[in-house]
Amino acid sequence: MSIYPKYIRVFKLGVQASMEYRLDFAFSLISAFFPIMIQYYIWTAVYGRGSDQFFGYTYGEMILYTIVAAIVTKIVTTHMDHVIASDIKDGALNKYLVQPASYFGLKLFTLLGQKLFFFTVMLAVLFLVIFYFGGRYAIRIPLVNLVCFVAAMALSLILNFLISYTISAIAFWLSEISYFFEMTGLLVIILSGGVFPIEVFGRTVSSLLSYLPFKYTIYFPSNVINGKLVMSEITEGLLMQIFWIGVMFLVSKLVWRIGFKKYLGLGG
Amino acid sequence: MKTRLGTLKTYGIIYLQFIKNCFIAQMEYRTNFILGIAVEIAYLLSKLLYVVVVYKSDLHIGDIPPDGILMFVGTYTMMTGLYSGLFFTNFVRISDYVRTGELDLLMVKPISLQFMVSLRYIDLGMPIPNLAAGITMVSIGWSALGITVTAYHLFLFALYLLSALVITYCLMIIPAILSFWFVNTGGLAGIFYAIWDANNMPMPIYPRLIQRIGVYVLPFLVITNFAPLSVMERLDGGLMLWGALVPILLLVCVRLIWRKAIKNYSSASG
Repeated sequence: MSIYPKYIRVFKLGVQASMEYRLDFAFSLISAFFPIMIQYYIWTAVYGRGSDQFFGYTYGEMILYTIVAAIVTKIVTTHMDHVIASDIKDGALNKYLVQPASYFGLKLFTLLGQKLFFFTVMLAVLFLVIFYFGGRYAIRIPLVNLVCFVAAMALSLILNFLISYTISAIAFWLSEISYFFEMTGLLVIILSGGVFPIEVFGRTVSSLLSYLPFKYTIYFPSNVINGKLVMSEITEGLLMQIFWIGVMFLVSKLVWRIGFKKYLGLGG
Repeated sequence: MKTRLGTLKTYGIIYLQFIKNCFIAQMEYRTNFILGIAVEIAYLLSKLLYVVVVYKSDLHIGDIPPDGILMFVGTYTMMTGLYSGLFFTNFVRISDYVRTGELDLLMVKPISLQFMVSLRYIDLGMPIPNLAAGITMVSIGWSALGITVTAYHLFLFALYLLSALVITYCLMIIPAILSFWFVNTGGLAGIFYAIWDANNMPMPIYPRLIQRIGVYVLPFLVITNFAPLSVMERLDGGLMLWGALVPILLLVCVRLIWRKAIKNYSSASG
């Protein structure tokens, strides 16, 4: 690790930056609570009508999915696409280009540092929730699932960063970016299963989504923890996450290489 | 009385001027205009997922069938459109005015400062998808439920929409006004948006306590529930009266808070 002191430095800076806005973080925790509440009442009404399975989920699994997915969404959404895109647009990228470090590495380690504090707090919140609801709906979660979940979350954070990093390269071509990344960010969350589990979209769409990386960022980790997936599916999912991290890494490198030819370095 | 009407007319003319200015400005940046619409479509898609869930699971809330729920979702979508078009841009800017001291310049204009600050920018593009989708959903739900289209029903629906618009203004401006005291109110505004989304579903889905709070304390639930409930004839006399009174009460409150806030303005870095 000590070969990369500069990245450790930005990692630490990221940690410090995240501690700066604790109140904002607390607020964002509270606002995560409302969608959970709304969906909780929707599902309670849905399952109250007799049938014990909808979209392939039991009531307990669905409630746990709703809660976990909302928290996972908060953890993995990075807003990095916004930051990177505006770096490209207003020329702030210039100053990174002359530094003896890779922009990709700097951003990745800043993000990891920024998320460390959130990640820990959120995991603690999550485990409390899981123990409470797991007991209430008689869902037994083996310890190995918890371990796999932490691994899946870490991988999902990296995968999500790579997706954002790739999408943000569009800023090389677009002349106006302010709204664009709000739209892509939202679409990515929908496709990742952050609003509802992807089974809700119907068979065709959800099987299409199996060929894309998105569902491995929110949908997959959430289903690891609610006990819906068996061990072999979890292992397969983790491998798919690693596979997609590899693919997205290559895609992002490629897109950025092409994009750089368009880079004007305006402003700076 | 005559001068009152005269003032109202003047403000009407100024508001039309605002619309004209915004239209000209937005036509200058057409890509932005179209992207703004695209963003709203993305939000709309995420809300329509709820409709998919409602129909696929054949959700009944109390004795409200899926078509009835569609009317509520439609009203919610319409109100979201109106909010994003008429108020959102203004409310976001208020904390900037305060932080940068830009308010100084607005203060010296010879019209009401609150009017100027809170209604000056109208976004003509963003509300289009929501309004179109919302009106469609309400119409589908309305006819599927077999509610007769009478002048009385239309009047009721329009009345409660108007009341909802005023309530929306009063509630959503609160985080912005608080920025006179606290610099960063983004987190609080986030909470208000989240509560706003509770309107996505008819209120009978929530427990009685939440309904009471949502109707009488922080009247968010009045915004999208009263219009459809009134034409379904599920509102009793007391609630009907309350729905008409709330906007007036809130307007008075907001006006008082606004005055207090202005006294607190420190004209920083102006």
